[in-house]
Amino acid sequence: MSEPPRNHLDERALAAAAQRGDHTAFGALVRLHQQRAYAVARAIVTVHEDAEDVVQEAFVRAYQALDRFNLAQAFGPWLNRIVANAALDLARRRKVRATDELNEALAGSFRDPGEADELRRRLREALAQLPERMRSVLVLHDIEGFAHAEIGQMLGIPEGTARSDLHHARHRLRGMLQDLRDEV
Amino acid sequence: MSDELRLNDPLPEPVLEAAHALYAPPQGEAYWASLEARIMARIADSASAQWWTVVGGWARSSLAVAAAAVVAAVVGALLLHARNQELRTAYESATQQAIADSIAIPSGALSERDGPDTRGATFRDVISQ
Repeated sequence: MSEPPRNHLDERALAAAAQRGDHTAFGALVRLHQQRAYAVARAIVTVHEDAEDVVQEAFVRAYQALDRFNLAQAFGPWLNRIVANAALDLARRRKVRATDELNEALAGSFRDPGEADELRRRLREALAQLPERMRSVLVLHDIEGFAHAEIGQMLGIPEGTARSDLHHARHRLRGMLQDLRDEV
Repeated sequence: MSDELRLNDPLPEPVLEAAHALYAPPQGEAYWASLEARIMARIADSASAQWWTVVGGWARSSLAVAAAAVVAAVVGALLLHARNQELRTAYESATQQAIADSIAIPSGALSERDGPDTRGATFRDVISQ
């Protein structure tokens, strides 16, 4: 399980209190989950500012849907699905942007003025060229540590598709970074 | 990290490290406290918007009910007026007919108009006898 360790009973108590309208309890849930939510959002929308917007939107949606949350379940996976949906909604809206513009936004979001590392520069260019879902699966699995089943649930795809996407994403990345192989 | 990680064709470790660096989340308690505050502010806004939506819904329902009541009242008044008009027309029609009937002179009666003279002559004739 890739959720950060925490007392599930405490979390359930917080969720139950939030369902009764306790804003402080919901604030505690936000504090517990916002970093994980940000990671999920960032894996899908890539750009930091978009990820922030997605996290805020997702928590609002979660708050509005609290009465439909089943207290027998863990809050994190339920929230992650909402975050992923909000991120996918935004990504769909962003698709109207030209590919070059998207790549520039992606590169810009990663740009580190003090970083001259060739590998990072080449990697961010290669990631920008991956199809959106492949990149999301790769980042969610290889960087954020989610399992295929969790990724499948979040992105609304079968677990097998998540595995296949990961395989193809890694293969493409290797191809794009082939000439750096000796260095890495 | 997931158990499934690195089971088949993992990326080289330096690539993974570089990717971790590229996707590193913002650092510092202040950033996350600020994000939490923005989230809670948006939730407060949405809660108040929901409240106004509910009140607005009530207001819309009330307006709809009021409008329906006005329409019903107008339609009722028109129907009542039409009914009264119909009754009045029927009453007047019936009344006029009755009056006409009551003042109508039977054709036999007209022939009796000359009757008094005839009856008077007969009476005088009887008396005289």
